[in-house]
Amino acid sequence: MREKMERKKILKIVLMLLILTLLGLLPFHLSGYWVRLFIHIFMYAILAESTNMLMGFAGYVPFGNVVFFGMGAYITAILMGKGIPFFAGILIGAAICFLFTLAIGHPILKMKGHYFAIATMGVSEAMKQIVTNLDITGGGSGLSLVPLSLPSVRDVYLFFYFLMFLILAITVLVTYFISKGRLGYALRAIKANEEGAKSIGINTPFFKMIAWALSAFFTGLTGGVFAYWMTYIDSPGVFDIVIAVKFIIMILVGGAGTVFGPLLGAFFIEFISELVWSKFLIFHLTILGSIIVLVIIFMPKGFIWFYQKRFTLVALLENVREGKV
Amino acid sequence: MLVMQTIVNGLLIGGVYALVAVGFSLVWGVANIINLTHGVFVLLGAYISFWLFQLYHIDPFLSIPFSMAVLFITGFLIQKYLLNYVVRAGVFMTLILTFGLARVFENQMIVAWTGDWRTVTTSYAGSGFVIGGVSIPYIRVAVFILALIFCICLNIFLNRTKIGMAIRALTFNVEGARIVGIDIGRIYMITFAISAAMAGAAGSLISTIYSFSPFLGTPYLSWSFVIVVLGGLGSIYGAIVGGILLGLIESFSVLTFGPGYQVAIGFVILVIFLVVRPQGLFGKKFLT
Amino acid sequence: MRILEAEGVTKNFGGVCANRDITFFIEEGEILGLIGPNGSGKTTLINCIGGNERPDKGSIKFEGRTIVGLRPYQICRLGISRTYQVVQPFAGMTVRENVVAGALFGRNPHQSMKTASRKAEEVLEMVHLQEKLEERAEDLTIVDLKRLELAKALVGEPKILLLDEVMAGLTPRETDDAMELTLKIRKSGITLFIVEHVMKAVMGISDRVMALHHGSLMATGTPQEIIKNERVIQAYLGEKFAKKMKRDKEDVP
Repeated sequence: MREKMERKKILKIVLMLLILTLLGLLPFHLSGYWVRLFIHIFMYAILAESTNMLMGFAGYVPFGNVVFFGMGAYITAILMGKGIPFFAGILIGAAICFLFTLAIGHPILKMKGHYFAIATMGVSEAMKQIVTNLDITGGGSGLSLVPLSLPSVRDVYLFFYFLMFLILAITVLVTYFISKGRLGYALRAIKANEEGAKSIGINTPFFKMIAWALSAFFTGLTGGVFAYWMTYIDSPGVFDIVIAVKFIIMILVGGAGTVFGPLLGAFFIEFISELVWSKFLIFHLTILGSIIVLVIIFMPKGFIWFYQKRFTLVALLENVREGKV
Repeated sequence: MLVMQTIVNGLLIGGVYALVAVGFSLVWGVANIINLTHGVFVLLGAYISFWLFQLYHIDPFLSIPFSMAVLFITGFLIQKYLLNYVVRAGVFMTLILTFGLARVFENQMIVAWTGDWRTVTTSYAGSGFVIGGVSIPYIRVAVFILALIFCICLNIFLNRTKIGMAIRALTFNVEGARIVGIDIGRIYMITFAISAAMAGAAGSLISTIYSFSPFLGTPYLSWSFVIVVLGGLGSIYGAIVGGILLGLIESFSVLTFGPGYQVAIGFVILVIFLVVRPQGLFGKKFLT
Repeated sequence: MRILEAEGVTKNFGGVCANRDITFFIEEGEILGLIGPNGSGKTTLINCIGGNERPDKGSIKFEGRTIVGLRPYQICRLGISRTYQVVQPFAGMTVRENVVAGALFGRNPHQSMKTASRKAEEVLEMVHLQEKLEERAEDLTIVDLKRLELAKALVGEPKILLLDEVMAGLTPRETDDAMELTLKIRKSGITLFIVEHVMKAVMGISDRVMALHHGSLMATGTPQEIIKNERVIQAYLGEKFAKKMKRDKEDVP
């Protein structure tokens, strides 16, 4: 029995190393189109993974988490416009997002479930409008950044590919440590039963804030990188609620509260998005929307759960029975 | 004088906002479903009126019954074949499902009617009367009055008819309702259908005064949120008061800060209410 | 030493007065029972001590220090743990994980995972759940859920344990086991404040008993004194029966 578990563990590690090597070699052998796609996928994976820290573990769904993406993007763009180097810019942007949640976290995290979700949406929509109207942010016409200059276009792609990949790896690692440590226990207890959690000594507001702040940090970081990559950002583009719902769906599809679930969700959704986009441009959203509807009806606990249930049809129908009125 | 005009504008549009939100509040209060397709339903009502006006020159006010009927059936089917399968899984599941559905509808609207802005301009559109320097267009008054009539009719329906009372029973105690033999699934279908029909009526009314495009689903949805939080969940009076309040807030924010900040202000007020008084002005304590 | 002192505790919910001017104390190391008909305010009192509710008036002191106004998690850290009448397991987590959570955040919160895990196993053995460590909390029977609830409260190393109707719904045999376990817990140095309806249990193991009625403290005393207390009998069994008992007593020479 022990041996079997050891073997499974080793297999998992080998598999992971293989995938890592594959992903490391990939950009050197694929066309620019595919590298761009992967950068996009990594980006969404980071967004999903970081929001999972609050949503998957503590059960609080921050629909408006995209606000940190936008804040990170704009702060980086503004700072770089003033001559501050890129890496400093994105870290400052991420730090400001972190502090922002600590500032507004207290009243907002006190709210129950969907009111919290709506409040975060409110923050996001409000921020979007404010940013559209300020001068420092370029108002409605957005902001441009000086593009990264490297010997070739391909080099630029490689830079962003590995940078996003690195950030993704760090986010996954942080999630892993959360899941194994005190923070993970606290959050899971909060998700399971917040009153019970309080009574056994868990300072619930504190842990919820930390989880949200961490998710804000990595989301903001990604926003900053995105801004530099795109070299142009505008308010509706980076504060778009569709981005937020997309990564929330990725979390659900992959498996909320797991370490690798959001990754899988991101890969799946973005791949389908891309494949569908190129073939059925005009029905892209219809297909995406329909997939969402089907996943919610048949597989709301996500892909990882489905894998644990050995991919049986019975499991899918079980979900329907559980949810039916 | 400008202030008076602002107040009148805000008041009149507030009535329609109330009708926009009333269905959203109903479905949320009764079935604990946060329907992200709601904004799209409003647009559908507008597009139906637009279509009938363009093709058959039917006056938009006369097209209201038709758009309500179409939306009623649509809502009924959505609840019956989709939402009823996930209702017990929790409010977030229905949220995401309706999000997906909204994207599908939005996409189809773009395909069918393109992304161009549309309006329904009738021959009597411009005329109105002037009282003490304040201009009051006929259409806006008619729209306001009709919107309120619909809200009041809904209220009467909920309080005086058997089905209405069954619906209200569900807001208090789902299990209790089940025990007395109420078919929850069917009630949900009817509630959702009514909600969609109200949205459709609102959309038809709106088509006469504002222009619209397939991308306006989210703003109308957002306004519904704010109104529900302001006015309180499940309360029709709350929706009316919340709608008018929002109309006034919007009007005055445009006056004071210029156009462009009204969403921000609306949402700041929403967050303040959520922190300070989450049950709104008239609602019961939120459902968990 | 009086480990807990409450004075004039009053709590209203709208028009209902759940706790009315309640004054009492708990001696360190004793088992204090709390009885009273349904609706007499027992759970409210527990909630006030545990920090889940805040009394409108009055003071509650633990080891001389005022705890009114502290949040539940702070009160737990000080050394007061409680169980809930309607059990509050962490669904989605295993039995072991449920108790480890309690160990990580109890009175000694800076523990390593290893120590927490070990403590959890010890406590689970004490409540006889060692066979079910890896089972999911939501799959347990009601009796095991109560054991789990107890384990979660114990593992935090409390000085006082508030038990809210732990024995409800147990068979006589299970009640005996529960009584034995409770005495074992007291032996390990923990003071107990137990709310119970099961008379055999509460009278059997308590050193003293308090009786509430309509939110007020009706009587305090040893189990024997309380059983014979007229007002207690009246509250539980009604005025007619109390009168009858009095007459019966007077008839016996």
